[in-house]
Amino acid sequence: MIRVQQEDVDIAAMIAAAKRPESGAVVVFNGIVRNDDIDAMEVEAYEEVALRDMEAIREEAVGKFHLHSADIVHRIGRLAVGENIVVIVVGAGHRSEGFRGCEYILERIKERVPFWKKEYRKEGASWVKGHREPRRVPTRTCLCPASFFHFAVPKSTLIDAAGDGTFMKPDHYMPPEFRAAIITVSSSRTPETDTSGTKIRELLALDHVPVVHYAIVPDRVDAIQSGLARALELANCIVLNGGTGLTHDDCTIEAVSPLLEKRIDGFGELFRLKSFGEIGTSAILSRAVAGVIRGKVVFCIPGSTGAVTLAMKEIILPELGHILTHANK
Amino acid sequence: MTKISVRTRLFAQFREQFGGAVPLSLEAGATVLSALNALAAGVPDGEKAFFEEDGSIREYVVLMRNGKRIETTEAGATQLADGDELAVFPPVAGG
Repeated sequence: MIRVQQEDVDIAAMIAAAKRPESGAVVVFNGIVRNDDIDAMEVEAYEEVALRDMEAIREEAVGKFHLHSADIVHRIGRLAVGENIVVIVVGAGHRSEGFRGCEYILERIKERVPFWKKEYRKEGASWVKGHREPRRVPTRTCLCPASFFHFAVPKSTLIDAAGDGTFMKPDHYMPPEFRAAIITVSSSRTPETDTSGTKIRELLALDHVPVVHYAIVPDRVDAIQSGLARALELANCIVLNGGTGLTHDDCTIEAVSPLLEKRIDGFGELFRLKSFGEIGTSAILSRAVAGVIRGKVVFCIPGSTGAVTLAMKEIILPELGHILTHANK
Repeated sequence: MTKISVRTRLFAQFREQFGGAVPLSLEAGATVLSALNALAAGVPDGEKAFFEEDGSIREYVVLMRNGKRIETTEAGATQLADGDELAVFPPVAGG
């Protein structure tokens, strides 16, 4: 249910509707009129577009966070202090998906859905300062000289790009031509126990990036290098995971680094910066690195599901098209 | 030269200043930019609402043609057709 309405919202009914046998969590966000010394608030909408945008946001959130349901009701008209403004109810298998999905929906609404609020005070009325949109270039900002440089990005990151994928014109990006290879570096794992490799595959699939090659190679420089050579024949995006740490066996970096024609130092820097946010100073034990070989991009990341999720979702998938476009110019 | 009719939708501060739905009759081939100019000419200080002193569209102005966003930098290159709906609004503040 996606609604824009004057009437109040039956939150209990929304929660009841979100409860499914397979759901373990229902998360509710209820935005209300705060008493900032105001008498009332008036909410205005560009209703057709607001409904359409919220539908799109719902779809994005359901896909990203595997939500079982997501319902949004945003009110318009004059609202008194304490009244409901917006209610978002999401159902999910687990709490973390529910919380993240609910927050995602709210933040996207704040960024881009055409609603406006006017606050009424004794001394007069004023419009609530809106969200200044960081989007004055059609796709994503690029450091290269042509500011309207266009590059391919996977589907879900298109939507995410500046929060406004729906506003792009189709001729502003090229059809994705990604071919991914996954190499798990481990002397003990099998395809059945390769959880991080499986995770990478799932995340690529979510972005519609085809996986054309998958292999598990042991922690030996020669094995890693021949595995990489094979992958480079088939794919243009190779993700190696595992063997990036400091133990005696770890040699992925030693195997791959000498083969990189250009290193993408920023990848490792950003990966460790983001890892620091999750695991603290232990982040320095990862030697994650990326680079380019003959127009193809190679990433070496740690072989844990947490690390591959972070690297894939927050860095690799959003920048993949950008990197490949530059690497092939 | 034939004329085209364009419906405009204005919201929030712009609605208060210009009206919520201003019908425009424009020359065929008119662009989003010329529609904005026509709107601005209709009210006192209208230009200040949409344009910087150098004549460029203010960064915070959001434009939609038939529900789809148009970058302000492309307003001069985007032609309108008869029956189009042009929405003009300030930054959004929902949620």
